[in-house]
Amino acid sequence: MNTNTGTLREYRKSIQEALDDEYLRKTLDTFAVDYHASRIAAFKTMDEKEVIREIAEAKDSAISRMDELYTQFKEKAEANGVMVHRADTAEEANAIICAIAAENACKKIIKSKSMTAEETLLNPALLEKGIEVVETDLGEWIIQLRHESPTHMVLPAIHLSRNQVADVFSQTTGKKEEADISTLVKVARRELREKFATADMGISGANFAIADTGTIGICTNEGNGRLVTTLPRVQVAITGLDKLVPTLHDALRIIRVLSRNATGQNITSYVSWITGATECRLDPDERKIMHIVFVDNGRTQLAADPACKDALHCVRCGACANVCPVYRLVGGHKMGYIYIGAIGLILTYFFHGADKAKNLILNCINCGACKEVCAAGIDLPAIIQEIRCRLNESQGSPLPAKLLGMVLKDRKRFHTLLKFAKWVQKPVTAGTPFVRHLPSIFDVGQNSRALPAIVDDAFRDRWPYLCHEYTEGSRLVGLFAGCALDFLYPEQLEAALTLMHRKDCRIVFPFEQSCCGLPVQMMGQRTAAVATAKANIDAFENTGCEYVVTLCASCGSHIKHTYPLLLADDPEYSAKAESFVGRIKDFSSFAVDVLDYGEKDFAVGDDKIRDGVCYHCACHLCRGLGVTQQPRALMRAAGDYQQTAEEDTCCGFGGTYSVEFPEISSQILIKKLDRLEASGARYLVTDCPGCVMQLRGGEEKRGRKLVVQHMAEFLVARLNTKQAKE
Amino acid sequence: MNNTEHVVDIFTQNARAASSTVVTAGSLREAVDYAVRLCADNAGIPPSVPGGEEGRDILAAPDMPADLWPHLVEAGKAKGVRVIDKNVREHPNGVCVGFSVGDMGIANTGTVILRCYKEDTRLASMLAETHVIALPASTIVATSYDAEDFLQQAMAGPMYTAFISGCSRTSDIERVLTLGVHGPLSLHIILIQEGQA
Repeated sequence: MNTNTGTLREYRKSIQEALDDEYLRKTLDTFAVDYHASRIAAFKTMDEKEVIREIAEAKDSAISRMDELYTQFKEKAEANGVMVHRADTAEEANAIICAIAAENACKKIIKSKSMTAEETLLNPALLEKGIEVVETDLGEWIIQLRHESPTHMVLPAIHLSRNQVADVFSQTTGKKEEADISTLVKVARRELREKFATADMGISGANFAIADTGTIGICTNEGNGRLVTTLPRVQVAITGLDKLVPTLHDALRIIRVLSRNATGQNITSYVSWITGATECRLDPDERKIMHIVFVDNGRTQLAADPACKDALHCVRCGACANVCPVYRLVGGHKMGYIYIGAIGLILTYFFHGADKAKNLILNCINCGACKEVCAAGIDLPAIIQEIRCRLNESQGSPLPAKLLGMVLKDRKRFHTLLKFAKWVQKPVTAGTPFVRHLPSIFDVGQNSRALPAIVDDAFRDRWPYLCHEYTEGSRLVGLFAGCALDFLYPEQLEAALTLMHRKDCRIVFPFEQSCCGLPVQMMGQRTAAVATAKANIDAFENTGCEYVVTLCASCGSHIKHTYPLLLADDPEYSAKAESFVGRIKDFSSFAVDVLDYGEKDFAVGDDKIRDGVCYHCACHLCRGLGVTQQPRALMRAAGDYQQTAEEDTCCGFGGTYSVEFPEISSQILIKKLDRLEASGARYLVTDCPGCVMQLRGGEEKRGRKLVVQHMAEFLVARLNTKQAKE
Repeated sequence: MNNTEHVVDIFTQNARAASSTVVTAGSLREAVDYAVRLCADNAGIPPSVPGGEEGRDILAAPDMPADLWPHLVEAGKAKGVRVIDKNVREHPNGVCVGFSVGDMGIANTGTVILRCYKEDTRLASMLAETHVIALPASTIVATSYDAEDFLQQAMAGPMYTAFISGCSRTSDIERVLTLGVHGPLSLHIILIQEGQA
């Protein structure tokens, strides 16, 4: 069991320990890079998005009728000689299995991998009854010997080196085992074979429970699952109610994605489909004594929870951890309770309770990488934010979140405070949260980046003097500024004004627009998030503009995805939200798709800036808004774009996240800048002011090897000035 | 290349990618000879599990068609291979070769489908250090969806149906792929192409 359940301060301290574990860092780093490549290769011949969409749809239908599927499964399986049980709680599941052991005089148990058994803490329950339990999956056995919990759902011992495995094996066998991987695997084969041969009971999990035929499906690589379900005379399978699927076809569909998404493998070495009690020659009837235990433990309640039920779509591939920039740094022991990764943060809350989840749920940077690869199409970040809201609503918000929530509900007060902060620029307001969205201004303890200051004249203060220059043009465009651009980087907005005006746009900047609301959403302040959404919709309501352009990918993505959710049940605003969202466009897409910016618009010959340009793809642009082509087209048109590795990996900003977990944020930043600097480029371009803040701040500390620019600044400096305005 | 040849080709490619050895034979009888030869060749290799010495000359073939059984016994005798068709459980530390006849093949994953209700069928494929599956090439389909009717029938009553795609493997230590954990150390698939030698 891990130690993520104390105070937030204790949690952060334990994170620092994980960050200091060099072996872990290196291992997870290599894994992240390798995984990315193998996943692409594994899906080369498949329309993966389409299969994932089908899986999500089928799982959604299945969890809406778990009771019915359970009844059907039970009837079929019992007709084939299996005893089927349903446990409402983890304790009840353990009690059922302990009773099966007692009834059949089982003293020795072998297990193949089951996350559900980890969830119910089955092993300690059996040990308490004096029963020997041995895990037989290699990774699970290693961590059992070390008295640890898994750090990955598919690779439970990924945090350990061969030396650490050799040490624990040596202690177990009583002789020195060599730290050579194939030798260590043979040690497990040798030591565990006797356990297989002498066990009275085998416990497995199940990846699928097919209602139609009463069949369970188990995916394994090592072959231990097959021995566990074959050799002992008593067979028990433990699984969650969410693993019920109507038909074989549903299971086959998931298999198409499961191991490809988990590790890039086409299929696991073995898939065992067990229908009913099969032959066992130890039994007088030559039939297995077979039980299947379905665990509810909060699943029925979750299935009836519209905002979060999709978490039950999970097929336990572990991909959400594989791509998570936070997991990559701190590993599973700091990124979960029993279930790990993004889905772990969520399931911990639903299966193990608020207290176990309260710190973990904060440790999401909202980069959306997990949502992008999820085998069941779960919007994991949205559910994490929903849980933050609920925790605040049930347990009260932390003071900073509450203050930010209060301030943001009133735009005037918020902007007055920001202007006030301009004069203070220092610790008076440290710890108050509104600055946390603009953390750079006041934050302490962040050594890896320099911090920009609030400008003397915010964009909204300059606008009255600028607006008359932008009143002519055939296309009316609304400008949504967002706090960071308005108060920190007004020059980026002005660059965009120039670019838009050049292409015959006239521009409106409604003064009543406010923060997009993402910071309060991230901090679980639902009412403030709703209030800011309405304020912004109202601000643009009667402007008559065809497009609302934003230079902030985070604002754009939040507006596009979260406003409709926040206002779905509001009779007045749901339609208005839809219309507003339909008009929102990020600057790069607008420049290419609408304004037709291309090579012809930029300096050529001697005027062209030849220094290389590399790119950081903002999470909320590439994944949030699905924009990938346009920014690259612009960089190619205006400069010498050099592609680098992992362009779409998070920079570590994450808004409020970089303040909540500065240690992690700065480590992600360092890795990002290492990669980008290695390209030899002179310019670094991105489409989000938060990323600019993070990356520019980092470069400031590192001696400005890269000139960090927002796309608009980058383009405006490269315009072909000899060409007349269109 | 016709469609059947095409799926056989893809099957072979994917099975090899999953570390299976794929060979062809003109008949099941040839496949039997292959397995006997393999057992005789490997009998001298020390077992991977202590106590496995006694099973080094054993070939477990619980599902050999009756008409081929005498040939198998004969061929075994000639090569010093003991042939068994039951009580595989009595050799928990391993037998040298397990022989199965596959029901179907799935091309896009290099998978063999094996129905194994009988305990001995299962154990021959699990406790053998080398697992040999004879698979009629004509049974190979493109994807698992194409095997659905067959599987559905298999699941109509008590049945243990296995998808086997390569031998036992792990990447649990430092993510280094290692073959042969708890099951067979290697898998040989013999594609039976009737009428072709």
